[in-house]
Amino acid sequence: MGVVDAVLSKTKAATSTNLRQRHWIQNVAFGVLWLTGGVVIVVLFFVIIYLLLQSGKFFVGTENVLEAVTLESSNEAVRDFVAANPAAIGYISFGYLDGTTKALALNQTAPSVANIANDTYPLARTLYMITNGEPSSEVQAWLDFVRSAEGQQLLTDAGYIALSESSEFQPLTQGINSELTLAGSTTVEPLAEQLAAAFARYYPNVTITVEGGDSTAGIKAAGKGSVDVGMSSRDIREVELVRYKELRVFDIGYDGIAVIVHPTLQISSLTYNQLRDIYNGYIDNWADVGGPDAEIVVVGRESGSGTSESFESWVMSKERLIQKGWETGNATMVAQGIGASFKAVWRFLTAEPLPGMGGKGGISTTIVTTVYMVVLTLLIATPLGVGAAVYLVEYAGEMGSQSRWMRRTVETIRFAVETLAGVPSIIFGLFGFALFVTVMHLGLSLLSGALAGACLILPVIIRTTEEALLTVPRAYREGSLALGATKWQTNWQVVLPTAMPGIVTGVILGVGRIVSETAVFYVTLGGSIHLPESVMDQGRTMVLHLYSLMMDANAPAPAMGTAMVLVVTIIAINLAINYLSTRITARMQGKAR
Amino acid sequence: MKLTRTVDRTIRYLLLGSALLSVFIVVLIAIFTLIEALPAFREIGLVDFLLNPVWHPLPDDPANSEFGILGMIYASIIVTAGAIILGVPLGIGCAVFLAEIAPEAIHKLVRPAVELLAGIPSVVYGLVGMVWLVPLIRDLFQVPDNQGFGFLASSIVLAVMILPTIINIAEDAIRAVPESYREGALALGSTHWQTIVNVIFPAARSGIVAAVILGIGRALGETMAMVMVIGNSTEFPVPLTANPLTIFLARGRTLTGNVVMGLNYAAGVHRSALFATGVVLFLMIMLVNGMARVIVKRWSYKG
Amino acid sequence: MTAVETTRLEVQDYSLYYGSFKALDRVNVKIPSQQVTAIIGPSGCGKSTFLRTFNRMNDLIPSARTEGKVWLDGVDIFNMDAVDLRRQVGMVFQRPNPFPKSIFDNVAYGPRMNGLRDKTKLGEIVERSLRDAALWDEVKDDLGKSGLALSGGQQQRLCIARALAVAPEVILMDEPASALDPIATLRIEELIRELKKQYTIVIVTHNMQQAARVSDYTAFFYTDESRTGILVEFGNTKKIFTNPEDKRTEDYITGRFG
Repeated sequence: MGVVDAVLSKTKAATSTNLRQRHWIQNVAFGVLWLTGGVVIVVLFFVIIYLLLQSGKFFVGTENVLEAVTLESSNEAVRDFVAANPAAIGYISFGYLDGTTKALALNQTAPSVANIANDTYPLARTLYMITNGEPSSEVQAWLDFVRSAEGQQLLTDAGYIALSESSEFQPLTQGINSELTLAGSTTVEPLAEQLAAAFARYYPNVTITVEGGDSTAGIKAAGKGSVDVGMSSRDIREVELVRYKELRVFDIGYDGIAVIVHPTLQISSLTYNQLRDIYNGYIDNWADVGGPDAEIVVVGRESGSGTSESFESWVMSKERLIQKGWETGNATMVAQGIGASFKAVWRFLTAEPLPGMGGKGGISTTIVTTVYMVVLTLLIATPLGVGAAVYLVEYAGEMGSQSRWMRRTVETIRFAVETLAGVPSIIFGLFGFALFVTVMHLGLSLLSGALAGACLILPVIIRTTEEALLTVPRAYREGSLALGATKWQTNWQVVLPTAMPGIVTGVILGVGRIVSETAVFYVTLGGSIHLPESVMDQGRTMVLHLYSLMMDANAPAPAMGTAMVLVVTIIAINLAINYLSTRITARMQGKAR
Repeated sequence: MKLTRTVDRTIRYLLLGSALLSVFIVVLIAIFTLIEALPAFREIGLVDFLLNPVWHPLPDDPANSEFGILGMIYASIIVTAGAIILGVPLGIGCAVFLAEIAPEAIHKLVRPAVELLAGIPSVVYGLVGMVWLVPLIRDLFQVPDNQGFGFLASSIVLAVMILPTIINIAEDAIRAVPESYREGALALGSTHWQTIVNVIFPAARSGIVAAVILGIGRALGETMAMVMVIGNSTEFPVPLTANPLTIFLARGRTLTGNVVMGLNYAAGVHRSALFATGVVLFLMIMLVNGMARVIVKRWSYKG
Repeated sequence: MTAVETTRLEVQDYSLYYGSFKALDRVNVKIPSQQVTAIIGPSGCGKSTFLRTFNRMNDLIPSARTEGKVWLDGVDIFNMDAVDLRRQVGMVFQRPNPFPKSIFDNVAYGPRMNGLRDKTKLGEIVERSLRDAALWDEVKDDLGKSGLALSGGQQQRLCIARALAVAPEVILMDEPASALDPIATLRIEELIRELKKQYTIVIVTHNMQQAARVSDYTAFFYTDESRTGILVEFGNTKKIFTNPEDKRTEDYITGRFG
């Protein structure tokens, strides 16, 4: 009690100090404690909420586009492809519609300029021209012309939608004499050519060169100054504004995107979800959407295309669909978007992951592999761990009066268990790699991983089982032994069943460790994304997949989705443990059966 | 009757066998890592291995390869120190908060959250670090060659990861202080805060120190989350500018990261050097855990 | 008392040590068959330790060591298998300790350990044991209920039924009523008188009235400052309580210490 006395006398001495000062100190100290508590709470909940929001964004966002899409590099090429193929589907700018293909209605709304104007056909985007720095007087004249009533009339004639305001074009008094180069979006390209021809009437000495490419290339060329004006059919990305700080962006009109099929196809309308599923590859036959029995030939655009980006953010992602439906009070669109988002969760869980960049596909095989690993590891570790704990609690004690050698052995075992519990997992990885993978020739395989994982969770199971066994009242053991039961009968019939919830808790803790373990499996499991067919196959658990999505495939969005699945799993595991520990308490009070 | 007796005896030995397995595994781990590490120690030399700041494996040219892990030891220590500086005050403060002054409702909300975070896979922390923290650090500090990846990001990630360990153990230690000590101090007219500082802290100190040391152990052993946010540069980490604090914006590679980055393709001395890295890491952690054991024994409060 | 009384348990020069501490010193006693023998004495005199000798429960204490002989029906119990011995010598503990299992499984536990699997046989044994333990009428409709859900007195009778189910020859009772209320105690005492028709009963009690009420023979244990227990006097209960030979017995009986 010496220390307590000293402490108490110190406290007693302090009682003489000014009472108010003491309270002031306490208030400050408690304020700091509340603050630290608050900071920790914020940090903890931030992680969870951040994951929730980001994964939510992933599931509402763009789904992965099927590999089998035929990619064309311009609006024209898509149109001609579809015009020549009776089972094809594609999407092009309104400006390219010429009657050789049929434009489909979406959610029964026809693709027309009028419907874009009254906000019922949302598949539209703004067209831009971009310069690097303040435009020169020649370029300014060109932009003025494009945005003038005359320019906008040309735009409307070409099938695009004019800006809401425009003024009369005022040609500069002095003539200009130079060359202008334009490049970028193929959506804007033909329009720019027509505009250039009209512009030349005012300034015959100006030579305007219009080049194609795509929106990304156009923005880049303008930013680098290799062209005078860039053309884009999509919004400028933030990164582009950061990279090219001098960019000036001018809107020149609007464009709709039409979904086109061959004129003979017996389909006139699709829903957004059908269209999305066609492009995702979930619908691959026209019969599934009420058409003829023919395999759908899906045509898309190359990745730099502004048309393709607008199409993806509108059709492939559910976010803007929900947003637009919400803004315009269109409940069908909102419901479609939300329904499709839940479907996306399900598909993510049940689809196989695809190799390559971008982390396409789902995570089904990694879920199955995780389950395999959990089962295999526990099959190895549980009997051994529980057995070791039973020995340590039930048998080692009675050795007390027996040989010194036996006592040494038990001490060594306890030391070993403690050591194992403190060893970092990468060491188990190294060990598993050296012994199971290399020396035992099991190779990178589920078996190697499970053996190494079993070593990892063995101390967890031993410790929790020991604790559970220690809570079993001595009277149960005596009662059983006094009835003439053998030691093992007593353990098997009375001690283990009574300790069962505690043991199961240990096993579930083991499940958690295996689900979250990365380092060990990274070096022993191989990492194949395919479904393992035997324990000698390679595999990839969910955490390994997450790691690979970030480090190899550069795909943070599906990584967030995977993270959310993991967190939900861990929550389920924690709930199970809490439930079991309340049951243990109840049993100890004699309430449970 | 005879049969049950035989069964009883057989099972006893089976159980002894499964208990001995732990010893067997520890021995195997020691043997296998050491055997694999031995060529590295022999060919590189222990001193050169530990003190050479250059790690430069050349798969096709073993003669000119260099295997020094000083930079990684340094990186591991910086990251752990950073995590301790950030995590320990928060963790212990939060433990005191939860054990002593938090209202029941907050305690009920936070405790399960802490347990949940203890169970979340390390790669998930690495993911949040990569997607959220790294760009934030990149934008926040306008220092040349600051890429966001580096010691600051990894220290923060690590601090969050060791928080649950520290909070759980420290709170348990504080709660284990007998109620009579508390009542004794309060009855003498000390304020709650004085009681905490003068009675509860000294009584719980072995548990609190153990919490910190276990946190250090966990920080040193963390692998994948570190690989994701530390940048994995094999260069010896130096401050980016004249300001020495910019060392935290430098990139590096921890001992654990070194093992995991190379193991699946390394061969020969390179591979052996990775096992040797593991041995060094293992010894460092055993040292830390041993310290925890000694401190808990020495300092345990015997009234 | 009938004329012919056979000896069931015989103890000769029995001493027990915990490590270097001597807990019992050279006990000699013959416990008669089909009678109730009470063991009384002040606390700490080794009564319970002595009782636990008969089914070798002291074996569970690692440091325990014995000298001398104990025979059950002429067989040296230290040469027997402890498990076999315990099937012949049942025990009821101070605190009721039913297993966290159903009433049926509690009683069927011992027979099952002996390899009995036949459901009808088990049912018969359970019913007979519960009837013998005077618990049947109270629980017959609820055999699936947890043994822990019964009252304290019922739990203790369940433990007696559990001991009876293995058909032992001897039943050891270690202060079986000390944790029970007076009414439950009386019922246990009635039960003991009933059970002695079939079984040899050895009961440890700190309650002298109880010893006087239920037992035929009484053994008085005593200890001094050394804490080593010795058997002071053994004999017919009536005689011990009315006309003890030893001064210490008389002092204890009349309440001068203890």
